[in-house]
Order: sequence, then C-alpha cells, then structure tokens
Amino acid sequence: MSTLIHLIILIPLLSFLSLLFIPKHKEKAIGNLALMSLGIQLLYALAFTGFWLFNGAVPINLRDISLFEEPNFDFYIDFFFDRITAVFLLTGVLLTFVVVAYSRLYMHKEEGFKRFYSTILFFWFAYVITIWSGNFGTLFIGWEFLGLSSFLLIAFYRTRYLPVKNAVKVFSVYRIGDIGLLMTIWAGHHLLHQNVLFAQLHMDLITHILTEHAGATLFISMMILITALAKSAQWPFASWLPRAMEGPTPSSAIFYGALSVHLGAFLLLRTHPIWENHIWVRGIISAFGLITFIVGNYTARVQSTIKGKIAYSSSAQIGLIFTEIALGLEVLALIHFMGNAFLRSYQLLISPSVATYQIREQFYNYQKPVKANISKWSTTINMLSLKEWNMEKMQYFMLFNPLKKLGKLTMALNLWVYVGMVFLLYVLGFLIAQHGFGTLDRVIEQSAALVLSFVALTLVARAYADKSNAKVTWLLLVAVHFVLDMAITLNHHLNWVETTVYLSGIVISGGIGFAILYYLERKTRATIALSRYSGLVNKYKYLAFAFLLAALGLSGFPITTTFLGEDLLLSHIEDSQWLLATLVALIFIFNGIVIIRIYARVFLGSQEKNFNSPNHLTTL
Amino acid sequence: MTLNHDRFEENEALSLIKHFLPAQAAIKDFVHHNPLHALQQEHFHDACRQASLWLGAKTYLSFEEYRKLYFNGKISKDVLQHIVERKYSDVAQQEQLLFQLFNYKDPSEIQPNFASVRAAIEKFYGINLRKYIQPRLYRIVASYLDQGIHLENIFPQEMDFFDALIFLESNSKLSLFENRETSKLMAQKPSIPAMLEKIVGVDAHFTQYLFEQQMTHPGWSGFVAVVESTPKTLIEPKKISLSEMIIFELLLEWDAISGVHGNEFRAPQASDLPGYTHFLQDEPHEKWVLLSIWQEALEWTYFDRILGNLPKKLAVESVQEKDFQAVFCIDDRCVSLRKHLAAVHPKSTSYGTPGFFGVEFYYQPYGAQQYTKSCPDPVNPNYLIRELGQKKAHKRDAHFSNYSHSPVLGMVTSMTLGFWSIIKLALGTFKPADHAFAIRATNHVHPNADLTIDYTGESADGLQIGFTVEEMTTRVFNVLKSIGLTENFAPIVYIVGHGASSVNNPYYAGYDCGACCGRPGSVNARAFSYMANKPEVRKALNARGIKIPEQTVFVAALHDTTCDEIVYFDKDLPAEKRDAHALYKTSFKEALLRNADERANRFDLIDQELGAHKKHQLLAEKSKSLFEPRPEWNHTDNALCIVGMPAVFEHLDLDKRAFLNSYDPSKDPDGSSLKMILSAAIPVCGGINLEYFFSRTDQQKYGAGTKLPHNVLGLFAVTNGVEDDLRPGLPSQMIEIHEPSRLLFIIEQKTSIILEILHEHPKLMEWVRNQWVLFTAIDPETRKIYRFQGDGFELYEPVALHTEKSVAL
Repeated sequence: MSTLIHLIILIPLLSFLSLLFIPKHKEKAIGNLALMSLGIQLLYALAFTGFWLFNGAVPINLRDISLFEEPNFDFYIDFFFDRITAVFLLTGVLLTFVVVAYSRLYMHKEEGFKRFYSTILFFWFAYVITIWSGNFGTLFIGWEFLGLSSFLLIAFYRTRYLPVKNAVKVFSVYRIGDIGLLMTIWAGHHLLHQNVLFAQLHMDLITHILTEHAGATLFISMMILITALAKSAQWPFASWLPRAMEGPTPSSAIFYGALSVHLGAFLLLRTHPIWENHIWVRGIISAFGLITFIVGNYTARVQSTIKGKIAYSSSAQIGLIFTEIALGLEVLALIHFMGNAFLRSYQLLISPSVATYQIREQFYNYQKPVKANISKWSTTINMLSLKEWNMEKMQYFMLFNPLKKLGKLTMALNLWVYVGMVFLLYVLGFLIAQHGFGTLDRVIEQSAALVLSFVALTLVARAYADKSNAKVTWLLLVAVHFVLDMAITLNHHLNWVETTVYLSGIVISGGIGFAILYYLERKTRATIALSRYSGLVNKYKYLAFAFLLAALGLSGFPITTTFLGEDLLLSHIEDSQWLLATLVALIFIFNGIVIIRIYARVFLGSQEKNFNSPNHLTTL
Repeated sequence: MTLNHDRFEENEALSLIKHFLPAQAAIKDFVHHNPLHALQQEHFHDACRQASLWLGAKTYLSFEEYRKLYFNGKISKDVLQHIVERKYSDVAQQEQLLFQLFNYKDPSEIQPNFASVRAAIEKFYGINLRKYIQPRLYRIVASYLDQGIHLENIFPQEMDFFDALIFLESNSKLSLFENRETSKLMAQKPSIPAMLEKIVGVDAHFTQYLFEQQMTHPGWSGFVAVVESTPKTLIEPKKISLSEMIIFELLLEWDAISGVHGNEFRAPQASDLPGYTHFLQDEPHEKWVLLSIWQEALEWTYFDRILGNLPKKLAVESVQEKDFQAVFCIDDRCVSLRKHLAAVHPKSTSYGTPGFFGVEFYYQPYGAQQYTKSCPDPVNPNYLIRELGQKKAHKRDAHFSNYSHSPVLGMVTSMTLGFWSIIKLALGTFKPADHAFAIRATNHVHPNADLTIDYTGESADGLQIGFTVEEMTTRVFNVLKSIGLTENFAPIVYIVGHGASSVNNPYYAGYDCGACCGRPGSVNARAFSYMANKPEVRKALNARGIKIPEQTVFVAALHDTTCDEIVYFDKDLPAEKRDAHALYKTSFKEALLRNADERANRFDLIDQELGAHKKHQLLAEKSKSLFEPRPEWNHTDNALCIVGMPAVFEHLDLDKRAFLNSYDPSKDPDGSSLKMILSAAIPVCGGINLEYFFSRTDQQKYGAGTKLPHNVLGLFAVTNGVEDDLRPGLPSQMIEIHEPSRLLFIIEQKTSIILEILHEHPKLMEWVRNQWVLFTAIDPETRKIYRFQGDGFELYEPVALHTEKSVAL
C-alpha cells in the first residue's frame, strides 16, 4: 500500500522535475510531458479510488519519514486518504488534466510557455501534498507551496505593473492563512502534546481533550477558520479573488475558479472533528459563510467584467459550502464543491465568448429597461457592493496600516542609530543567555523575550517603511531572525542544535540574497530602491530565480531548515504566552510579505516606462 | 504643436487630447484606423518621432530587430546601400552613416520626453494620485457604461453621466468619495478650469496637466470620447462626455488631496513648480534618422523585388470566352484564392473591389432589434435592408445565464449544471465542435431568407428600405466600370463576399470584412447580385453603355476565410445553369483546398508533411476550437495595394501581402473610377495597414498585448484583470508575425491622372505626401515605374535590376 501511495506523490514531483530539464523552446515536448503525466495520474487516481472503494473504503493513514526529531519534537510526513481526499483528488486531477490539454495550444508562442507549465505542475504537486496530508505539518508544506505557485501565476505577466501588484497582494492574504496554520500547530502541540494526526481526530482520547479544553479548542478553530477564509476568498478577504485574474485564462480557471480557492473548504472538512462538538464554532463558521454568501452575491451583481462576476459568484457559493460544512452536511458540501469547481472553471474558460453570445442576445432581444423607482436603500446596497463592501479598505486597515505606523515611528531614528540600538539589545540578550540562565527570574527572562520579539517586529516594520535601499531592507529582515532567535532562546533555553537548525537556513539564504543585490548594484551602477519597480528579471533571469529561492528561504519556506526551525521556535513558547505567540506570528506574517515585496519590486513590475505604470510608488 | 498657452482654453485642450486618444469603438464594431491619426498632418517619420516624444510610444522596431532582419536577409544590402547613397553624396558621410546603422547604441529607453507637470503636482502634494483614482474612476465609468455584464444597473436609466453621479450621491446613504466636502463640490457642477484652479493652480500648466492625466488611461478616455461622438456604438444608449469624465476625475483628485491636506489646502504657485515650462523637447536627430533608414530599407527590400518583377511588356491578351467570372473583395486573404482559382480553372477571370460591392446600407437580420452598418465606416448610409422570414435558431447556453450568478439558483446550477460543464469542457478540449457562442460567417444571413432590396415606399427610422431602380443602376454601374468589367460577360458571374468564423474570441469582428465595418460581406454580395440580375437595372445599364447579356447570371457567395469554405446563394439560379454551376463549384472547391494548403504553412503547429485535405480540416477546426487564440492570420504582413489589370500581378508571388483592386486604365481616361477606388482604398487599406504597423511596433501602447489574460468588460471592450485600463488596438496573437511595412500602392495609370486626383482631394494627398502610404505608378503604355517623392512622381529604377546589370557589366 505504501508504495502505491508514494507513487501518487512521486509522479507529480518527478514530472515537475523532469519538465525543468526540457529546453524552453520545445513546446511540444513540454506540453506532452505534462499531458502524459496528468493522464497517467488520472487513470491511476481512478484505479486507486476504485481499489479503495472495493476494499471497504476504510481511511488509510501512512506514517512517513521524520524530517527532524528531538525528544519533545518530531516533525514527520504523514499521508491520509479518505473520501474527502478521494473527491478532491478526482476533481483536481480531472480538471488539471483538461486544463493542461487545453493550454497546449492556447499558450502556444506565449513568452513563458515553459514557466506556465512548470508552475502548473508545481501547483499540482502542492495540491496533491495538501489533500493527502495526514497531519498539520505535511499540510503546511503543501499549503506554502500552493501559495507560491499562486503568486507565480498571478504575476505570470511579470513585467506589467498590476499583475505583480496583485500577486503580492494575494500572497499577503495567503500569508495570514499560513500563519493561522502555524498557530494551529503551536496550540495543537501544547494541547495534545503530540503532532496530531488527522486519522486520530475521531479517537475518543482526542475528542475528550478537545471537549475538556474549550478555550484552546476555540482558539485552534479560529486559527483554522482564518486560514480557510483567506484561502477560499471569504469575507473579509474575498476581494483578492477577482484581482487574482491576471494570468492567462486557463490558470485563472483552474486556480481561482476551481481548485485553489476551494482548499479552505477542504481544510474545514479535514478538521471537522476538532470543532464539531462546539456549537459556537459551528455558529461562527456558518456566520462567515453566510456573510460571504450575501456580500458575494450582491457584489457579483454590480461587476462590470466577466471574470470579476464569476469570481464573486464563486466566492458566494463557497460561503454556502462553508455553511454546509458547519452544519455537518459533508456529502452535500462535497457535491457542491465539485459542481462549483467544474462550473466556474468552464465559465472562466469560455468567458471571452460572453462578448459574442451576449452581444448577439442584446442585438436580437434588447429591450429598453423600464424606468424603475430606485429606492435609497437599494442604491446604498449597490454602492456598497460596487465598493466591494469596503473589504479592500478593511484589509488595509487591519494589516498594513498598523505596520506602516510602526514603521514610520522607527523611521524617526537614523538608520545607524536604530541599528545600533537593536544591536545593543541583542548583545544584552546574548549576555543574559550566556551567563544569566538559571540565575535570573523566569519573569525577567520572559519579559526580555517579549522585548526582543517586539524589537524584531519593529525591524520588520522598519524594513517595510524604508524603501530607499533594497540591500538595507534585506539585511534588516535577516536581522529579524537573529533577534527572534535570541528572544526564544531567552524564553525557553533553545539549545545550539535548534538554533543552528533555525539560523542556518537564514544565513545561507540571507547571504545569497545579499550577494545578489550587491552584485546587481555593482552591475547597474545604481542603488536599487524599493520605491519603484525595477523589473530586472528581463536582464537577469537566473539571478531572479536564485533570489526568489533565497527570499523563500528567508521567509521560512519549506526549502531550508528554517522551515523546521519556525516550528521549533513555536514549540518553545508556552501555551500561556499568548502575547509572545502573537508577536512571533505577526513577525512571520509581515516578514514574508516584506520579503516577497522586495523580490517583486527588484525583479518584477514595469519595465516599460510610460504613463500607465506608476514608477514611483509613493503611497497615500 | 505646443501646449503652452498663457490662457487655458478648455475646448482647445479637449480637442487636442481627443486627437491623441485611441478612436476605437465598441468591440462589436471593429474599424481599423491609423493609431497616429493625431499626427497625420505631419510627415510619417516626423510623426513617428513626435509620437515617441509625446506619448513614449515605440513607433519603429528596435535597432536589434532591424539588424537581425538584415542578417537574416530580410533587409537587402543593396537597398540599404541605395538609400544611404540617396541620403548623402559624400562617401565619408555614407560610411559614417552605415557604421552608425550597425553600431549605434540607443542611449535611453523610449519614454515621454518632457518634464511631467503631473509628477510635479503629485510630488507637491506627496500623493500618488493614480493609485488612488484609477480603481475608483474605472469602476464608476465602467458601471455606468456597462451593456449587460452586470446584473444590476446602479445608475438610473437614460440619465446623463454627471447627473447620474449627482443622483447617486444624493440617493444613497454612502458617498462616492471619502470626503463629504467633495460631494458638496460635485453638486455645484464645477467646471474644468475651476477644478484645475484648485488642484494645479498655475494656469499655464493646465493643458499639459490634463493631457498627462488623460494619457494615464488612454483606453478609458478614448472610449468615452468615442461614445460621446458616436453614441450608436452602444446598443443601450449612454450619455457621457470626456469633459464630464475629466471633471469627475478632478473631483476624485480633490478628494484624495483634501483627505491628506484638509479641505482648505493650498494649490501650488508657479514658484512651487520650477522648470516646467517646456512641454516638448526634441531629441538629438541621429537616432530617428537611423531608425527611419532601417524602416525604409526593410520596406523597399520587398517593394523593390516586387517592382523589379513587374512585367516589362504586356502580352496582347486574346479575348477568350470565359466560363465564369468572379468578383472578390480586395482583401489580401482573397488574393491567394484568386491565384489558385485561375490555376484550377484557366477559363475563369477574377476581379477585386472593396467587399461591400458599392452597396451601402444598414442591415437588420430577421428578429433583430438593431441595425448593423454594412459598408466602410466613414460612409453613413441612408438605406436599410431587412432579412425576411427565416428565423435563425440561436442555440442557448446556460453557462452565460444569469441564474448561475444568483443566490439560490446559483447553488442549484452549480450542483447540476456544474457536472455538465466538465463534460462540455472535456469534449470541447479534445474534440472541437459547434458551440452556441461561436461566430460563424455563414450565420450572418440565412441562405433561404429574402431581403428587402427593392424600395417599395417604406422607410424606418429615417432610413429608406431598399433601393430604387435608379439607385441600383448607379451602384452596379460604378462597380462594374471601376473594375473594368463592362463587356465580355461570362454566363455566370460570382460575387464573393467574405467573413470569418471563430469561437471564444472577443476580437471576432476584427477578422471580418473591413469594407463592411467588421461584418461578413454576404448581404452586400446578395444585394449586388440581385441588382445586377434585375431586368430593369440591366435595361438602364444598357442605356449607360454596359450591356449585360441576357444569359449572364450573377450569383452571390460568401467565402469563410477561416475555414476556406464557400457558401452560394443560388436558390434562384435558373435550371439550365445548374449543371455548369455544379461543375464550377468543384473548381472553387479545389482552389479552396489549395489555398488552405498554402495558408497552413504560416502555422507552426501544423505538420507541413500532411496532405492538403488534412491541412484544410485542421484549419477549419481552428474556427471551432475553444483554445485557439489565432483562428487565422487575418491581414498579417499586408504591404501592397495593387490597382490595375490582372496582367500586372498575375505572375507575382504576392504571398498574401497585397490588396488587389481590379482596374482597367484604358476604360477610365478621366480617372473618375480611379478616384472612387482610391478614396475607399487609401483610408480603408491604409487604416488596416497602419493599425497593424503600430500594434506591432508597440504592443503595449498601440496594441492590446497578449489576449490570453483578457477580460471582457461591459460587453464593449477588453481589459487586463479587473481594475486596469481598457486595451484598444490589436492583440499580439493577430500581429506577432507581422512585418511592419507601410502600404505601397502600385497603380496602373498615367501619373498625370493620379496627380490630378490627389490635387483635387487634399485628404488623400495628405496620406500620400506625408508618406503614410507610399505611391508608385506604372505607365500603361511605356510600363515605366514612377515613385511619388516630395510633391510629384519621379522615375524609379529597381535597385535589384541595377545591381544585376552592374554585375553583368
């Protein structure tokens, strides 16, 4: 059995990797490889599911390798298959197969043909990991990969301003979700004292603990909900969905019409046993679902672009799916998911035809609308819908405004003064860690940890606000991790191994990133500022890719050990330390956002200088 | 041209801005035009330079591209040398120039070359105005103009844009603006100068400020200006003007600024905006000279080869009995079909004339509420032709139904229709089939439907329904005379219009007949045939000197250029002609097959080893394929317009690069027919040519970029994403293999007659003198070639022959 399952994970990975070796002008080979790989997987998924059904449809759990092990900490890969996985697998493989076939001709001659296909295959790999994951750790890996592939496809037209801007935006929203997941892992760790498996969620012991600790369960559930809301474009995040429609139509269809956007629902289905006994949680989930349903439907009514209309309609239906899940109607939710995914992706794929179809309708059947009396209330609701229920503003208000304000505060200090102060605090922390352990009161240690993590947060804020030099911003972001590491060391006596795990990835990716920025400044003979899009990817394609990897490494992406380190770090925060946990979570969120923004501004964005593309991004 | 005035003149500023905006109508009416029409009074190369300076547009290929073309042999060394020699007589200068052509390094990226007032204003206030305004502005204007994407019109019907805004503001508990003061300001309907006074402050900068402001979203501004001047482009009427939009935009700016600086903010004074006194600074000339030489070398490499291969003497053609004659559109896509037809059926002759066949009217299909124009865009017909009695059953598709976007039904649809979608999608992906939303050229008019071509005293909406005999006679006479078909009529004369088929393609109208305003030419072909067959018309024609034998029949047909298929409107064909017609149809069929075979070699993905039938089938499938961004290549590579006898071009390999207009110089000694031909061909073909040209050189500003991410907005335009500017122009999938070249006219007529026509028509002269189209003439007697240079014609010796001769010597 384990080989069978391994194959289902390995084929996507192998086809993605082998695609990388095909030269980019060989469109046919690229298309055929993708099509063949997906075709095999389609047949394989069908056969596997058939086999599984035949054998009584018993959920399968497969424990796999440990990535990092310590007495109190074990990060391991685990796979799980039940009917939820089955439905998501079959729907996904069918749609991806068709879209891959569709795009072979559609994308012909397009610059980035290979990039498109490798991103799609990478996405598919991430999707498979996500739906097969048997624990939160594995899920998290898939989740992060999904976010990245979304970013890359939205920014597919990477020299245009809006696609890049919107890609960063969607990445930021996803980032909130990722951290929700990280916090879930943190709270789960303390609550259940083990890396909990999805397969075990039904077991009496777990159910017992969950009912005992209502508060902690509520927290976990809310973290899960935030993650799901962000991923599935629900209120108050829904406004990213129409803005994600910047890539080629097939990629929009598969991502934002069908698969990616339904993964929030998947997460809820998967974690259902955690919160099913808590009527409050079910109420809250339903409420969010219904709000999205109402907001989405009203907003769809006033959209002037076809893709925007489909996006909001889809998001509204997903709201309904959320409610169905909350009500325990799992089968209905699964059918609804499939239908909605199929319908919206097809609607998006044929969206260019709305011009021919509806213009013909209008040409033949146009009737002057009857003058209706427009009431004040309906106008108000329409206006509100036209403003997308102020969701954009709300996100800005929640996310970026506080960060910006904090950043402005730090900007009051001269860079060197500021860095010097941070350095002093760091040294102080170091001295305490070296000599003070055991002699100092826990309260002092923990307060020092809080102070240092707040300092780390100000570093991120400073990096966000200071746009004058990409190198400086980058170094600030590297420093964040060191300060944070020190904070947790003070908090919980992090040992050297753990520190190495966490910081080695930072040092490597930080070093590579800095070297690239330094090299580029020498080459272009100018300071690379972040107040504009430099679009250097046109000239430095490989460097851009290397920098992207470095940026991902620096933001704790599952390509370096830092990824494990993040998890480790969290495991050293006690369950009573809410404030510290929140600070660390915020740092992780913003750190990732600022890093991807560096990548976007340095390498992507407008190269064509004309009136359309604001080069200087002084904000309001 | 200058924008620096001491006093701001609103009308002057608006008309200047409108001039520079793209003039593209709604997507259902695709009319090609010169994207640089604002500069048409300038010489071509000057206009190219100025457009670059004013708008930051690329109007030439890059140096790298030209050099690559040179090394690939697309630019001939001899021609380049010849052009350089004409430029300078001094050898040292020539060498210097040649050196620069290959070594010049473009110092800067092309960008608007003036100090930006708007940037200075933004800096003054410390606000990124564009970022604040654009999403808000686009959303409101889109919502107002929307023709049916949205389900709910938030604006009251038939209200003027600005009044509708005021109504909205007063009828809602929410405001369009962030600052309530702005809405009070709006209620007073402020003027443009008043708003500029508040924001820009310095009178001298107003015009430039507005210009820059509008050029940040030329797509929207251009479309609003088009709706203002031709409201008919929208089916649901909208009353909007550019100035209203500008006022709204200025109000949004005020809103943004007052949000930061408070309601009583201070406008900048001249001292706050130092150094913004010159709008236009000319760049050093060298770069532009070099680019213009490269461009001319590219053009003349091809032209020179064509001109060099023109027949020196015309064989005296024996008048031979023809089986049939066929009249086609001048369209470049018909040219290769005509070539194959001549080869397949030697006893046939073909002619070319603009595909509306001289009959101008509005067409109303059976059951339709609306009319559609069926003639070149500048013409405003007084006639209406209705289709009678044959209802076309339009298939419906639930995927476009609004149910899927409504709350409860949306849920039911997704759980039911959704599962049908995946089947449709899988079928559509692996086996192209007919779709309810496809565009088929043949659906334009039902083959068995009657048309109201005869005038019976009725009229509708100020349009006369049908034509009188007199009006018919004039139209038939003009066309026949202009193409020189006035005698030796064959028993059957085919009148072949053309159209295109595609699916999932918002640019569908751009593939149809340009002379029929982006519609298939089938109704025009039928109208013309009907007129020419009408006994009363023939009688009247006889009186005017064209005698059509009684046994001659005109048969209308439609060529689907995407599928290479022809349908015939032959239900009234007399019984005795049916056998012959059936035979000729097989000739057409063979010619179409060969045409498809030839056409297939421009598609990378079609295996060139395949047989002609298979290639034909693959091409036809393109018109049904959901995922085919290039149903056909359309006017790609157009470069020539030949006006003359078939003998002039029969032996040339035109490779679908030419528009062909038949013309017999001997039958037109006064040039009256030529005048008619040129006044249609220059703007129509020239417009197509220049739109392709500049869409190719600047994909972002004049072209629409790649169409793969495009999003249909309001049923009247396409855009990228959901909050971007509109994208007028041609998408890259239409022009990517286009070799940008101006249109060279080759006219078989005496230069004196051509000159006379040009002098009579200053509009045409402007095209020719400023070299927006290039003119050559072949003397019908001496066969010498003359080229229009400066103000008149001069003798042209093909360079290729020249060099061959010198080699021989």
